[in-house]
Amino acid sequence: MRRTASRRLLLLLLAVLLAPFWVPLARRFYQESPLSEGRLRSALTACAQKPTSEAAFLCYREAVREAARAKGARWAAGACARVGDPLCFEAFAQEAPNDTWCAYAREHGWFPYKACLVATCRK
Amino acid sequence: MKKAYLPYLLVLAASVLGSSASAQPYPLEADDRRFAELANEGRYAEAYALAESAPERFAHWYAYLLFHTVPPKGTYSVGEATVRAAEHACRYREVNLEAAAYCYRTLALILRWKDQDPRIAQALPGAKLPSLSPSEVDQGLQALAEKGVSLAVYYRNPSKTEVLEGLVRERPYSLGGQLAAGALANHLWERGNRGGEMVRYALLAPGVSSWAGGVLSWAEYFGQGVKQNREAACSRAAFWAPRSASGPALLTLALCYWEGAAGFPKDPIEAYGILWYGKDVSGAPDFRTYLAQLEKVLRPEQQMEGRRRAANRFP
Repeated sequence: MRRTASRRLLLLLLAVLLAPFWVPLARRFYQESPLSEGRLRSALTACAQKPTSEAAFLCYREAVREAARAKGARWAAGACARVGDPLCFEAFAQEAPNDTWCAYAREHGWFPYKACLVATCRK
Repeated sequence: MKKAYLPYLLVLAASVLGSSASAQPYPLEADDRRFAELANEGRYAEAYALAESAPERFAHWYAYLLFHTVPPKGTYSVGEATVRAAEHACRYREVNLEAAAYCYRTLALILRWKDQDPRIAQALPGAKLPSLSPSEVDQGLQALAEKGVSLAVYYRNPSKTEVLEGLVRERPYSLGGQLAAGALANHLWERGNRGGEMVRYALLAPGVSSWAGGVLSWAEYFGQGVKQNREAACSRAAFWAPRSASGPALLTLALCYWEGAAGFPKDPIEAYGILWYGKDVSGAPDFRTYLAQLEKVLRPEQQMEGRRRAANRFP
């Protein structure tokens, strides 16, 4: 009985000590999982249902921020293109810290790219 | 002996003639007036023909109309129009000072955007443009402004009201004077000062300046300072809205669709999209007020459709 408890404690200690190795791996696995992609996409799609453009914009901004953090800016631009709402790209543009994001926007047509150029010029 | 002098005499005559030609640079005031009157009456085909009859005298006007894709000759896409306009103005920059100013102005735009706007980058290969650096372009425009060339004065002082007023007062038919009238009309509209002064400026250049045209379309729609004429208002707004960043043109066009005025299809989704696009172009509160009204009646998916249409419609 005491032996089993000490084994469990040892395993727990090992898990804690090795956390710097397995936590990022697990996070990466979770981010790349279809489940996470689906959740992020639904968050963006839900924004299109907001009753006003202002509410939709704020919602997109949050969702884009989360998507870019979890999956990267290129993925977020692609997700906006899937939603098909120019407002999503306006939110993406406002979040864009630099021209790198604009290059991702550019892959989805003139309007997304223009919105990004205008937004980064204003910063 | 006599024959040996002949080539020298010819060279002397050519140099005298050459120097007298460059001492009288274009444009001439009478030419500017003739062209501006045609354009302001919407007689663009005749204006283009006039410019083609003496390209060096009207190069600045021709380039300007090309830039704004004014039919029948201005059939280029946005990027191509910028490059073609620059080419035309720069070709005549030695003999026409306003063309030189327009050359520098369009070159500055090209240099600023060529690495970022793919539409300009695509239009550049094969273009015959002077090879100038941004600082050379800037200095060129400044030198012309100091000489009093109307376009250079206008582009150097876009928000100095007293300078613009001076251009309108002293050279109302010059291209710089026409653009100054439009800028003043637009400033007044944006600030909510939409009375007789604004309309007077707009009436000076409604077929040249997109801002003047936009303000006049708004005035015609509401019968503000001019007789109410929604047909004229809607067709003028439809002409200038996609060619410019004119708030009043966009607002008027949106109202034409919203109310189904002047034979326009009654289409609140289209109106919503135009207003949504216009709110970033103009600081006037009208856009947000009308948007809020439309958002009460349009479903979210209809609003999204309006935004999609606007993103595709405007360059």
